[in-house]
Amino acid sequence: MPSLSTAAAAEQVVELARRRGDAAEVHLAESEARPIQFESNQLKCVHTKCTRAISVRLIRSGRIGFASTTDTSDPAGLLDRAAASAAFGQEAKFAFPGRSAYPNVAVYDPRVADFPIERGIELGREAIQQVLSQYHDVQCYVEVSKSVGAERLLNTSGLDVQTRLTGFDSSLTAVRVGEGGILWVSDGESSHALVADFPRYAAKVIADVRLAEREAPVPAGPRPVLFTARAVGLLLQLIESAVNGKLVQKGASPLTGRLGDQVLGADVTLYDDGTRDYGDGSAPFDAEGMPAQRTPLFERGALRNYLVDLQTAGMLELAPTGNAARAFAAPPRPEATNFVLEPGSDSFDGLLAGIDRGLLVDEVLGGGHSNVLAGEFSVNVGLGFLVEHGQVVGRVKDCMIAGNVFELFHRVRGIGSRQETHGSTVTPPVCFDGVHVTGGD
Amino acid sequence: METLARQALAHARADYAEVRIERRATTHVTYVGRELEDLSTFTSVGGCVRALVKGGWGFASFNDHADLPRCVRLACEQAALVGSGQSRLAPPMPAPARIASGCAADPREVPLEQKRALCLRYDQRILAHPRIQTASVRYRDSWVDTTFASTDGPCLSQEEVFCGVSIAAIAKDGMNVQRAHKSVGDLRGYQIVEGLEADCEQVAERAIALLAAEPVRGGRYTVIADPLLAGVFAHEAFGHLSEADFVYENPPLREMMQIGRRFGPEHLSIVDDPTLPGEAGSYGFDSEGMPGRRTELIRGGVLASRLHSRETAAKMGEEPTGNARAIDHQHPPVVRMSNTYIEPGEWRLEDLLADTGQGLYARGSLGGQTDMEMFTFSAEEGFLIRDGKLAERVREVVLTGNVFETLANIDAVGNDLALYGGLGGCGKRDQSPLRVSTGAPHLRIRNCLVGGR
Repeated sequence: MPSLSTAAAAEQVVELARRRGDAAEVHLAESEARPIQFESNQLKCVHTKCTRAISVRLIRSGRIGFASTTDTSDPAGLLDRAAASAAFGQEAKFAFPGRSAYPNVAVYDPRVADFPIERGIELGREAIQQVLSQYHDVQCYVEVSKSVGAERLLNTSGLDVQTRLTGFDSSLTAVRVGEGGILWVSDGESSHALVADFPRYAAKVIADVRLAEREAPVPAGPRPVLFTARAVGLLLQLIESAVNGKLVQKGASPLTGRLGDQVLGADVTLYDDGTRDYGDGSAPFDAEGMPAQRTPLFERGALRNYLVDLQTAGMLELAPTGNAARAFAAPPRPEATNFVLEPGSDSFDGLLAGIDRGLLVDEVLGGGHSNVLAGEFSVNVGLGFLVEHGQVVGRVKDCMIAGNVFELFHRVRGIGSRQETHGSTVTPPVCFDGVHVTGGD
Repeated sequence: METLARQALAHARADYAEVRIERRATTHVTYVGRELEDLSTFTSVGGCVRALVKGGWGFASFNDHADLPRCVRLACEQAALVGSGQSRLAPPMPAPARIASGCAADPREVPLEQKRALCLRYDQRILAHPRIQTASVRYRDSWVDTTFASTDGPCLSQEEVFCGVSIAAIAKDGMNVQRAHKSVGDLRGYQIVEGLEADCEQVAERAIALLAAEPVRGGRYTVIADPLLAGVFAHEAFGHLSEADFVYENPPLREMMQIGRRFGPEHLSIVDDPTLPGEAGSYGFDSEGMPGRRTELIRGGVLASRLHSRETAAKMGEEPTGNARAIDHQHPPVVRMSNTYIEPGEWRLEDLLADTGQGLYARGSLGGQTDMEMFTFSAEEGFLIRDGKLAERVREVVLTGNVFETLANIDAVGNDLALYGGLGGCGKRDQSPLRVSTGAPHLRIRNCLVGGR
């Protein structure tokens, strides 16, 4: 729960704003994170990071102002700064909401709060031993991080809600330096719940090191490419930016004005879901106090909704979707919660078996540095493999894949039947036809 | 502050401990399209404690100064939990006790309304172009005052004032959306964000021109990179590999990165220098209280030295360089670059083009990434070079390669070094963005892989 001084400061801001005749909203966030890091097979450090931010958004004479601080000693000063910004702020297209009914969404796991640091150190040591027992010449990096926090949101419309939340990140990375260069392989998870399946991460890392031992030529040309669930995230990020209401409202998204259109292939169903228990992007209410919901984005390829916060909803004259999010001490903006791609009917092995000559891609380098707005990607295959006659032949290096996500999702060869969760992305593996592969000599 | 830090450190049960106390104030103005998306101020107070016990590190950060004694205890306890070896740090080096901001026009003295009006002027200038769909103008300034104290050196303080603006234009034609941008930002002062009207025009025209460009054909090209893109290449492809924290406890990497190893041709030299006045990556002392200094990373194609923290320098038996940096008081220092650039050579751009005949001219940067061996960097736009002249414009130009091969393939270095700061910055581990400058003259890279259709 927010500490007493912070809570008192927040209540004072709302009370003061009410007396001045302004509409105001105060957001409080506090957390304590305890990361543990191993570097080069050794335990390196244990940290305790306490963060806190108090933000106020004001509507005065119909205009929005915003200010934030980590300092709780001067609530009136904070409100003054917000008012100064409201003097020429953007015209508000919404009113602060009152209390609504919120779905039950689990974001607090007592096992995280009770998780002892010593246990994290033990898990890290065991995972490193597991990898070293197979490959003594790799260097392992482990991160185990738990956090416990609270958020509270109050406004002059009578809203006063709070949640306690926990967070857990665990990852294992192995680096192998050899004649052929530097190989990185990793696995891990992040969630509001305790996720620390290090034996599984170690097994994946060992398997990848083994697969990468043999190098294979780059199959240049348009090829079928099977993206693992982890790699599909690269493509979904591009779609996520195109359905972001802010970009839609500016006309910067290629999907502006296309609600109802068949934008993706008929086998693609995608939604945003803030109500998944322990999902990385889940919460019972969003950063403006709107209830979390499950929002269809593409149903059998047809565009159904954009993701909006209150201001964007007001400008686009759409219903709110509960997608307001805040970066540390920053004003709300629309963002996806958990991005979910519906599973198909193919097994991973079946998808692989169907590739005569192509690639299996698990990790890429340089994502997000292309023309993201247009759905373009052009990335180095960080960890990927040549597939011939349905068999993984060996690792490809110095290899690029490129394409446009909106074209690619019309050329789906098959969608896996099993979803995996990677951060806030929930997706099965997907195989596409005609991905441009470049490399070799 | 100083007394507070000293008193707290007196109770540290550690081989070494340090305190950083920070005050910060930032201003944000953002226009996107016709709307003022953000006009806000942020203030913060806080600090952190880092302790070293038997080679293990503990770290604790706080927002209330009253928590400082508790954080000293916590950091020491955590370090004791980790440590099982020997603590080794390079000896502290004298840094000036008080470093004032060197900025000319202090953005804190400019009224908020004036900053907003400046952004609006740029925004409207871009939006005035009929084929522009939308624009974005982001202004940021920040003032940071840091007090540093440790158990083995004098108390130091440093004030830094950063100011910058980034302008972008987005042109659209159906599903074809193109963006061009320019970003300035460093420690020189408010004057650097003024007078960018001509840049607004250029950014708008570039975005519109990109609509008509075809995506580049994938394959191997002789590439000429402009100073902005070549600077990103120096940072991504080589700079990160020269950070000692990745190397010092990894025996095969130490072997690979031995001082004296040849990495490139004789005309290639790369430098990191936080002492350049006013640049985005400049500082007087780093987050370990060590003074910044000029470090030659590659001299005449040969690995000359690398970037260090006090720990990595001691453990590798090399000179400390003052490159341990933290983005703020919530984070511990890690080895980072400052202002990293490739030194100029002899070639004039027109001679370089003429000499190249056929190839690809890659200009501007959308960012880059490295895994130490492979890297990518994305140009904002490209032009095919035909018969020694710039021919048609192409888009989606992403270059990739193996660091070692690519450095060896640099066969010509221009005479036109330029350094770039900006609002972006460098990301490493969970710390981003860290203000840095990157720079280079025009570079020619033979046999460079470009992704595409």
